[in-house]
Amino acid sequence: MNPLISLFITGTLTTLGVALAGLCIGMTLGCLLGIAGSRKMASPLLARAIQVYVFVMQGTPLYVQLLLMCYALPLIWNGNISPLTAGIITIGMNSIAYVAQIVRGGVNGVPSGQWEAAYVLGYSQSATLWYIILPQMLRTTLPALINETISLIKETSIMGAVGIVELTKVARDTVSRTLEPQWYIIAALIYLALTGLLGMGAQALERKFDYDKGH
Amino acid sequence: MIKGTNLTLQYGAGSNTKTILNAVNFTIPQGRITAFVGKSGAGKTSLLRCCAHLTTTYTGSILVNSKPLISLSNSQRVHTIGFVFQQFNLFPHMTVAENCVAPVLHEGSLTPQQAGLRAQELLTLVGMHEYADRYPHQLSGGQQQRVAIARALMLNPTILLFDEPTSALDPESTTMLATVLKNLLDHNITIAYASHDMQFISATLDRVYLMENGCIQETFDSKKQNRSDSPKIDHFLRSALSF
Repeated sequence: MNPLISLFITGTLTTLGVALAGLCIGMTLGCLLGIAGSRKMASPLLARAIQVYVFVMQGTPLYVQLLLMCYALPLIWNGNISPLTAGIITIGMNSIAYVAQIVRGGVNGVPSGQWEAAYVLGYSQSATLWYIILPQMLRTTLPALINETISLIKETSIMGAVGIVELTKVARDTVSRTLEPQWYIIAALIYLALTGLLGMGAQALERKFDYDKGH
Repeated sequence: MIKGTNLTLQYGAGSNTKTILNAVNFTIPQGRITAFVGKSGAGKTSLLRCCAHLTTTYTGSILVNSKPLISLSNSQRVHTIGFVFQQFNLFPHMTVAENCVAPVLHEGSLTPQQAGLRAQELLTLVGMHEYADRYPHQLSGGQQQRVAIARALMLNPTILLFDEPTSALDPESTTMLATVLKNLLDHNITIAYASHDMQFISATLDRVYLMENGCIQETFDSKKQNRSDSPKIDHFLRSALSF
């Protein structure tokens, strides 16, 4: 196999790996924070803490967060962190803020009458959340969550700045070596394929949750 | 039976205090239809919400079958008191059948097969068995209302409370609802509702509390009184005939 193709495959797999790991962190903790910060669930102190976290993560560039995680924070705890780990944690923490905002809005958007109906039918608060609120929330927030996932895949392109050999870094290194800028087009096409496939999967998922149509 | 004594509900504090219910005494006797009537803002809905434990910040006492409402466990409460909301509040992501079976399956009191049969039986009782596979948004207001009644009955409550049951219904559905309520009495269900729909009140006339500014102004019991004994209620209901 052409060594360049092999490099691009490795770069693509690294991009996918970082994105997937970041997504797992972002979706899991973002959903938990979003639910915990919603009107029905949050204590004022927790809601405030979540607001501050979201403000900091959304108000600073991902690139700066990555540099802080990779170079500044290890100095504070006097340890080492591999660029790959730093990259995954950074992108995951960044994603948490956006997912939490989306989920919080989604939970708040479900009419309070649904909580009350569940209460008079004997559902506990956690059962109401799981069986009644989240399925409705998912339907309205799915497009935004998918956008966040697509953004996350594209944001992995800055990971090369700390030495992670992901797709964009592979393209940049290849262009430096070959002086053929068309490799950037290859990288762009691979990103398009990844996000396009994700978009198609997302559309199918949206149709599945759209109980207002197709019946 | 539900018995409320000195029921008071206030919102706000200091000079901004708003009294919603002012030392209200009432009884919702077994096997009867009790109507709480009056203009908007009279406190009817708030009173029913207190009875369903949806509002808990009241003072005074509410006894359900001689036990304090607050002492009932979640399970005891839902098996005693059912509530049908003004906007029905069906779960939009579930079909009609799923709306009915989900609460009992969640509670675990019936097997899925038993729950399905009971849902079918109750949907038949309210004339909605042909719509079991539909989603709430595919139903009219009256149909959603009847599904909400079937869903509330799934847990076998002995008392069913309705908040403004006709506010989203056309006249035909209102007449049908009055028939459904009378059928429920034959199944030993005690009924109470809050309404200012005078035609509906006339159609289901049994016991009436007239409310105004958070107080009960007058009561009427069709088994003990003539309507002329309750002049305000009589006047309230007569105005229905002029429509």
